[in-house]
Amino acid sequence: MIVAVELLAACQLAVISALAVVLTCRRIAIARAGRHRQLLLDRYRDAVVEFVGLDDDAPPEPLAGLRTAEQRSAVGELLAEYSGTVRGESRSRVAAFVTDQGYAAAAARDLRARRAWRRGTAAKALGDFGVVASVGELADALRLDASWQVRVSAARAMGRVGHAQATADLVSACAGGSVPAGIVAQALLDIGEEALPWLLGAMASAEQRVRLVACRVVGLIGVGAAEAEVVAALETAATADPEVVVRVAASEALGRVGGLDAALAIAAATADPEAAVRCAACDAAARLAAPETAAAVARALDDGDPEVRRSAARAAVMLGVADGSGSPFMAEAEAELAWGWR
Amino acid sequence: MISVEQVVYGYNHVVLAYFALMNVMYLVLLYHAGRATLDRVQRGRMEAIADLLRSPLAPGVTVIVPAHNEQECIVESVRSLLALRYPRFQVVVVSDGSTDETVARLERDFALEAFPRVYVPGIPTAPVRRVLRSREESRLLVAEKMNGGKADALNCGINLADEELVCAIDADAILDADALLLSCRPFVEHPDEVIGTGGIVRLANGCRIEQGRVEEVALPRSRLAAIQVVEYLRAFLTARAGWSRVNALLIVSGAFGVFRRDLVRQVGGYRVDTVGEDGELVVRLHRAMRDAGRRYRITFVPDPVCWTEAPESLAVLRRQRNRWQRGLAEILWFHRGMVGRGRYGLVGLVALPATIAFELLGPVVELTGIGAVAAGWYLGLLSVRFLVAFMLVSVVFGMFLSVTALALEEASLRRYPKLSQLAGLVMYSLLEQVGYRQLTAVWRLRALTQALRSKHRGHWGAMDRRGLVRSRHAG
Repeated sequence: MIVAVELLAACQLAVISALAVVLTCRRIAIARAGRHRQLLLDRYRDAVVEFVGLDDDAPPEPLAGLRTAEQRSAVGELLAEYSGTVRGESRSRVAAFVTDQGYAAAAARDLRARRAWRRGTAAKALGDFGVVASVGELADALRLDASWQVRVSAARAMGRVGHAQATADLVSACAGGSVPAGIVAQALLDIGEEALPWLLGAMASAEQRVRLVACRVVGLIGVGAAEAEVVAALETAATADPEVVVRVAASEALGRVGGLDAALAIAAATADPEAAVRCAACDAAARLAAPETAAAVARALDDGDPEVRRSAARAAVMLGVADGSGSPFMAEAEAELAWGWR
Repeated sequence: MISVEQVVYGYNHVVLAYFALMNVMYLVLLYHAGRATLDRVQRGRMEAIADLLRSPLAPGVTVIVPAHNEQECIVESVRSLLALRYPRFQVVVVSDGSTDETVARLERDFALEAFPRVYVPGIPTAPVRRVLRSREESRLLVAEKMNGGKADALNCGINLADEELVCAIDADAILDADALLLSCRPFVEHPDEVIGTGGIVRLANGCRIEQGRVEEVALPRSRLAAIQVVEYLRAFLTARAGWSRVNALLIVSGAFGVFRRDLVRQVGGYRVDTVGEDGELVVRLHRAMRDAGRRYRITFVPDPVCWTEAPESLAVLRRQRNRWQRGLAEILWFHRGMVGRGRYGLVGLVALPATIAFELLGPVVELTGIGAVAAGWYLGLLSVRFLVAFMLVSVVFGMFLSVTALALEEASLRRYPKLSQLAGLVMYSLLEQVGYRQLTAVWRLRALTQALRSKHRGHWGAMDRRGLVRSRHAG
């Protein structure tokens, strides 16, 4: 017994000593590697910034003919960092360059690397490069990769590439729960209007989280050319969805989308049995300031829930509804408006 | 007839078994904390937090600052909070019956004026005297209320909150500029699941602080505070990270926690009759969500840092630990009905029983265990060699946990930049096990007996701070 306890103590001491040594060596190694990497990044940073920022197809001299893997890795990292900050022509030019120079192909190869962090980093780089041809490979990673971090990274990257082709895969990933709903939402938002047709379908999904994501994203993207369909889908969600969170999100989205039909749908949502939905509808009415919501807002001023009355008062002030004047919530809303906050 | 020798011998076996079980639990937590760290390190390479800053999907946050006689630091704290990097947030300062210039200084520095805000006490609180706002800074709201305690002030802030999330923070604490972004990221990613998050609390003693921000991280000069640095790292990076990974986190620090406002209101806000209001709210949220059969997560996020000041005197430390232990006892008493019940999952079956056994009763077993081992040696039941070996295992295992926490810190966060600081922390992890741990066990035991004897109401824990604000000016 005593020997066992002594052995245990000795083992623990050995582990602590080993940990201390590893910590020290690792700290020193990281510092050295970091300094070396920083030198490389500093050497090529200006050239990359110049190439990404200027309207010149020919890359600056330092970026051509890089030989060592370290140099290419540093330039790849810088290109990924800066190309994510530009749009349009500049982004297409960077995408063409990284494809031509093999950076995109190297990242695509890394999507099949053994280590998860390499696969995830590769997905991130492909998203930053904005190479449309990589969407298929990213979709494979989104569907099949065993690591959720890599799937998340692939989803984000698909959003940053910004091609409609990615939308269906993203919505499926959200429905299957393989990627968090919020990640999918941001990716769809990055894709923008091109995602609308799939989002309209997603609003009728059996999965609550998919409907929630679709409502939120549609509200932020806007209606594009499909105003009637978008508003009709949001109206159904705001008034008939079984989940409160979806009705709230749909009401908020209607306030952002705007238009006569949206206003009528908002007015209907102010009669929802849940206070949270009535609040969201009144907030949407305040944002929209459409006269069609005035009667519903006036009714909401007498709501049994004080938070609904507060939201209704804010909407009433925006709409110039006289009912409820003299109520403390109206005084509060008028002060907010007078102080320039609404 | 059972002899004294038999009792001592038997109790020594109980202590041994208890010690083994506790260490197994810590090892399991360490495993989960390690996995969580690995996940975090991998994610760090794959994404940039700046993405969240531009996201319109980031939920709004109301930062609630309960303040009671905080005239020395309140203006600087509010300025620092208003400078946080986050797309949409407001700051609500609740002065809880302050008798000093807390409100007057805010009025002066932020040009506050009376505002006709309707106070709706969805969660009952002591009366609110007035609400002040500024025409220049629409994100700041100040409420002046009658004294009701910290929990009452937090409830008042929740009643006044306009945003979807509420973040409770101590008036004297300092947040890193990205702390809100990082702590709200789980809400953005899992909007249908995450209901609460807590960041890591670190000790600012010894750090260089300028304009409400920690500019240079350093170890405290006070040995007592430096030992607490190790203690905090271990508590947050192993225990909380481990419990969080299995969704059985029981405590989100009152110094910095973010929750969904609607759910906090639904469960009735913070309890005002306990000194452990922060932990109690978390356990109540677990209970409510599991009673309702809803899928949820309460998560510890290690990257967002809240800096606070550690006691540098034994008297203040004793008071703090006394308050913590009484708070823990109260939480466990309030929620004793959850213990051992399958419907509460790992919270009821593992986390709460483990907390009772190793946190609440830990000092009892530890101190009586030392006595029993000494008695065993005195009665000739245990040899000196065994005694020394057992003590060594106990001390070294504690050190092992602390050093592993340092390794986790090194693997992911690396907030202590100098090698000498790392070496210092390893040394303090030894000091913590010899003397400090036993001393705090004595205080915790006293607190436990107090909790059993009397009922304390929630109040503002008196903490004689040396003052981060003074450090700011000095820095």
